[in-house]
Amino acid sequence: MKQKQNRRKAGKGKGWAVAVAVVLALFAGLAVFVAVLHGQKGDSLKQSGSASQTGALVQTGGMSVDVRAEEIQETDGSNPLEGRNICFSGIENTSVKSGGVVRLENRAENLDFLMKFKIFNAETGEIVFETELIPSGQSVDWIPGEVLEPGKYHLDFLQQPFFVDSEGIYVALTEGCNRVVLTVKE
Amino acid sequence: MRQGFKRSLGMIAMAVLLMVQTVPVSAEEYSTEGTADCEVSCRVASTYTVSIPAAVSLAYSTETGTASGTYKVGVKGELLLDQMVVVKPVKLTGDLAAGIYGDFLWGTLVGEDTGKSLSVTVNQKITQWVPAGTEPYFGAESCVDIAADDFVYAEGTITTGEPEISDYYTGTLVFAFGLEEYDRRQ
Repeated sequence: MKQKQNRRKAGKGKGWAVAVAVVLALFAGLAVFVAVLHGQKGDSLKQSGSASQTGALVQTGGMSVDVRAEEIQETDGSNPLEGRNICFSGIENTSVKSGGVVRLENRAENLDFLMKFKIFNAETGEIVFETELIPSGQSVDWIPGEVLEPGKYHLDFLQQPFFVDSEGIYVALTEGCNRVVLTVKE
Repeated sequence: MRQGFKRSLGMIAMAVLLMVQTVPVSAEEYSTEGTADCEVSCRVASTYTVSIPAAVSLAYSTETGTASGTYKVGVKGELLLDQMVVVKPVKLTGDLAAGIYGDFLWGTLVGEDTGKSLSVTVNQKITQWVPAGTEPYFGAESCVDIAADDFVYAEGTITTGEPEISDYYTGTLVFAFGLEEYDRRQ
């Protein structure tokens, strides 16, 4: 009789365990689904190859001084760049596996400034990767392992911001160059 | 019944562990020694931000025959105690050359119409942003404490030589920035 009761109790325990396991498995499945979805979303623009130039008229800028006759200077009006700053993202010296990603972002604070990244090998001067113009608040995920063999690299992440003026001319702004030691692992 | 409950608890713990492992990591992972080495399978994102004027306009003075202006460089972010952010101007048209005592830099602007060069000196005393509350081994006059949420600014000055000819002189100023090892007093 006691054995029967014990078996019944053991059976009840098993039933509970199976039910809890099923619920937890459902949760785990849901977590995986959310994780995959999270990995896919975001503002990142996928780019794995090199990008072309802007294809538009580009004007050098960043610093200027006008020492022409006053009549010519008066044709300019107000300077839309007066008092405005550009924000550059800095990344640390980093190790990535062959499939690891480095996020190249144009910060949301940059508003109407576009940003182009050119990544150079600082030792050879060779361009390793280049992006298209990235709107503010967006980013490009770069996979170093796609273009670099495993090893340690001194890289210059040159960030070139542009402002498109009322005539559609791309005005080059002050540039930032982030120096990073990147190790690509196997 | 107790055994079933214990089993259920065990399964819950296992399921929680499984769920934690499946969530993707999108921030940096640091080694325990604080070497800022990102051990992969993660997306490398920015850890500090550099703010630089989008454009620097210099004011020409007919009295002195030269032009001058100032700019502000800001940095914010969270650093480890052995890290500092270094930001300094490195290029203006070409590489900036160090002045006689190394306390200023030489560069050039180029006239849009004539192609003539105009010499420029750039001077930025503070180039290092260090963890707040620490005392550096090197000269304190070149560094300032960093803050996590607000930009801490340092000023730079620019002065041109006397232009040979009237023109609109421009150049793109490039700032190099990166994290370097910080040698502080213990």
